[in-house]
Amino acid sequence: MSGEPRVTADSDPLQVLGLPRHAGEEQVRQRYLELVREFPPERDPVRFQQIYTAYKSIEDPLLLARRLLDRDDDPPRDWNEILQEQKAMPPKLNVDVLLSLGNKTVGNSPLPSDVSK
Amino acid sequence: MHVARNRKQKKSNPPKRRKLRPTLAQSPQRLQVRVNRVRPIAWSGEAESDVAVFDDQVFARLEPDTAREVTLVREALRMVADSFGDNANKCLESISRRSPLSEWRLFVRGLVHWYHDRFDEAQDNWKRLDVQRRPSRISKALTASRLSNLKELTEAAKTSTVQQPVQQPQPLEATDATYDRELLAAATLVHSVRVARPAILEATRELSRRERVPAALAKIAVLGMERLEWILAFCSQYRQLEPQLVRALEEAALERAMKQPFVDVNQVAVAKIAGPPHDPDNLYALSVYHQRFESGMAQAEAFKSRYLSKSLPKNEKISAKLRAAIESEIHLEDARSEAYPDVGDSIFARMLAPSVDNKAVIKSYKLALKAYPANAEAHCEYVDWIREHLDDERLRKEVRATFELLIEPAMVAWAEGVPDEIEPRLWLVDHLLENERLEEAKPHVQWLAGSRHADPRVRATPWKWELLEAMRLCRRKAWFIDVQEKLDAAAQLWPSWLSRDWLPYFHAAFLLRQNKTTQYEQARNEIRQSRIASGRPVCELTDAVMMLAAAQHMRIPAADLKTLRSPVDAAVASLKKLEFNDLLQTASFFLDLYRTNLRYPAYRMHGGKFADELALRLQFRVKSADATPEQKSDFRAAIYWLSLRGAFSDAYEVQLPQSLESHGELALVAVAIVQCLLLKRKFVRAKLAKCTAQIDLLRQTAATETDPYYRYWFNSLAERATEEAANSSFNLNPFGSRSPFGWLDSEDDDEEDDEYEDDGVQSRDYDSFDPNCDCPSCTAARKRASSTPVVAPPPRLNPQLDLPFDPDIPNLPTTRIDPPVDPDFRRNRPKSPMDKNRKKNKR
Repeated sequence: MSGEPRVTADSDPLQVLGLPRHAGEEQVRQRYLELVREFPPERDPVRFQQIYTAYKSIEDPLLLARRLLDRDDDPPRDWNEILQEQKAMPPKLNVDVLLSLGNKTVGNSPLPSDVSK
Repeated sequence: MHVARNRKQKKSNPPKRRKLRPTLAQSPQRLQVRVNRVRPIAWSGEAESDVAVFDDQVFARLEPDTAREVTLVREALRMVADSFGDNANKCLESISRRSPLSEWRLFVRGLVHWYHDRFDEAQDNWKRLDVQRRPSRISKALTASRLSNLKELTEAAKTSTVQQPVQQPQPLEATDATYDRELLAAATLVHSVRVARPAILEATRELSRRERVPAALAKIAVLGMERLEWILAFCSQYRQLEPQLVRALEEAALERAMKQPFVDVNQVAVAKIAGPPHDPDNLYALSVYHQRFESGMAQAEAFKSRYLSKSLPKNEKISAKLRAAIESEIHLEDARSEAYPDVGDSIFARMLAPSVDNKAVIKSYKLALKAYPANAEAHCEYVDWIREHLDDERLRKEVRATFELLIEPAMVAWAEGVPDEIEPRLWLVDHLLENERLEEAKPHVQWLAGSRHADPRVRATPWKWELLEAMRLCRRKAWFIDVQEKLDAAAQLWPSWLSRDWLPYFHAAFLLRQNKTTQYEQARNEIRQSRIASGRPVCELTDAVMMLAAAQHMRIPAADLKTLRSPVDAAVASLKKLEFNDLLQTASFFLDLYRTNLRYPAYRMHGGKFADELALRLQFRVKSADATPEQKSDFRAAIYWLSLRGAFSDAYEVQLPQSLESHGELALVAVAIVQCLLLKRKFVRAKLAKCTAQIDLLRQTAATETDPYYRYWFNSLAERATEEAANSSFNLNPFGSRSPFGWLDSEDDDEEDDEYEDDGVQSRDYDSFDPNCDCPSCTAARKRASSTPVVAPPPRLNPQLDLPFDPDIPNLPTTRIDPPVDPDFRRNRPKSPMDKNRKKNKR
């Protein structure tokens, strides 16, 4: 499931929210709203609490600044790990491609498959 | 030779390429071209409101209301593509159900579910769409992209085009949905983009290959130039098709470029890849990068300065608050490194370390607080740093005066910047009342009295206010009239956790202040009588100290104080003759002075001497088994008082009296250890990381403690200790202590040396052989050597020695790198033959 937090480590709020280390403010907020929608407190109180705590802990600009400036001395992430993570997150279609999916061949309009030729 | 033979040979036809079966997965380049070329095209008779979503000319002809709704749809579709699904739904809420664009509202709602893999919810929305409209066709294409038989359906559709006209789509499967040829082509495209993902396959193929770097450098060269260039090319090609993948690879490449010592790789990465939103130009990252090198400090400072002065203030990608917080944190980090420079752990290194530039420290702290006044950590650390200096008894008078001038503004700024913090307010109340600045003190007193803070000292603020007022009013005879009232009020508000034994001494001191000597003597007698009546023996020393403390607070003139000081001075003069229990009882009173922060001026003269004597006696005796509850309580209080004074520790470690460690009350020991360590400097405080058992015990003790002050104190001690332990990055030896002599007595080092020596002996005995000898041992050794893979030795510091490289990788430079590497050295190194290979490949 692409919507679930992908890392189980509770200690790092960004990992709980499933966000990269340098996630910006808007990204954090949007991700939080998405997760709250996905795991509302009445359906999954434990996960909701986890998400809420994680969000609150980085909502403060000072805490977020500390995280952003934190010197990461860990060894770099393995390429394979990054690719596996990306495989679980298929790309979104850009707006033109999305709208073109509704094309219909009537008259002289070309087929989507013909366009590639 | 080789070329000549080829010329003679007849040019043969190139081998026929095997025709590949058509698959849904395409080459990434082809897919990219296809994605770039597809455009939404209106069909004849399509609803104008639908066409306007992608056609600006049609959009321009719309009525204003419809145009507004179309704009919302466009915005919502963009938001969904940018991962802001919730905002997209909110954006379309204003479109009414009767509007022709309500179809798009339904479609977007389903699309948000579909992107989150909630396909049932998506279908619930999409099944209500009008099949004659574009949203319905798009939803059908998206649904079809997940069909397991999509490939077969596509093949069948192609066959059917030979027999059937394209304009009349035929049903391909007995399902509710009818998939015509265009829909299947669109579904295939979606499948390629979101499921087959040829770009990720290519990236997996390339990145799983071993990087071409010398084996000896493999650990530090986490990103080679060749791979970096491949990543940059890949990212520029597939940025539109796989934006998330591209960003993830760029971030990983940048991270690796910052963790390896080759400056050229770093420079290329920094120039080509944008940094995170808070540091788009990678200036701060470069500052951190250059700090790793011995000669890189100037460059690091330059990058940091550029970041703070140019990049950060203009960065609109992050909020103003975050910008301020980042600036504050950077200055705070500067202050820390200037105030507590990392000079190593050994005592000699500390002795030889250059002196701290106090002006620079103050400047950095002030800049940190100016940038973000609510930075509580910065306030706390600044005040702690000032207090550390004020507590230093060796400080020269003029330097002390400078630090004394700093503390009040620091406390005021702390109270203003972080209004919920009690520490500065408690300090300010005492300080301002002491200096008769009542009006300034009042707001703090009111705030503390009104707050429901768990700290018992905060709840006791009204009591302290009355008491301090009584003391202040004793300054002038004209004010005496109100003193009794204030004392009575203080008596009523007396905290439950504080002994009331001291209260009558204030009344007696007030009588003395009024020169009512007869009544004063009578009051002293009453105090003694009541003490005897309560069953406790009268301790002359405690009695004298309590009276002296009250008298000094109540402004007894110096001439009258002499008689009160004499018994205390006499006790100090004959410390060895003092009874152990008397010392304990006095110590218990001193703890109260600490808890209420009401130490009297003369305390400085004799407090330390009593503490030293008590600590010395504790080496040999502890409370006896037949001690009364009062004596036990005094003993406990005495240990707490000594802990608050840091009497059980030297500059480097905690040294509890043996008798205390062995007498069995573990909670008492835990308080002593944790409190003493918390008073020490940062590198000693790091030992708290090894005190988890004591911290847990503190929490358990707090849970069962009935005294509210102790309960709060134990909890706050445990909390602070946990924080310190978490912040500590020090590695302690297996015994939990750091040697003051650094490496001199490091057992680990000895072990490593032994292992090294053993290895050397073993390898000489076992693996050495004569290459020309045919004896069985040499033959066996040669065989072993030939079967054992060649392992490169670790990088060495001597630049004259070339490192052997992995034999599998030809034509590699004999570069010697050992971290940390000076970037200047890297810049001047000989050019790599790999560069030539790359140029050839480009040609």
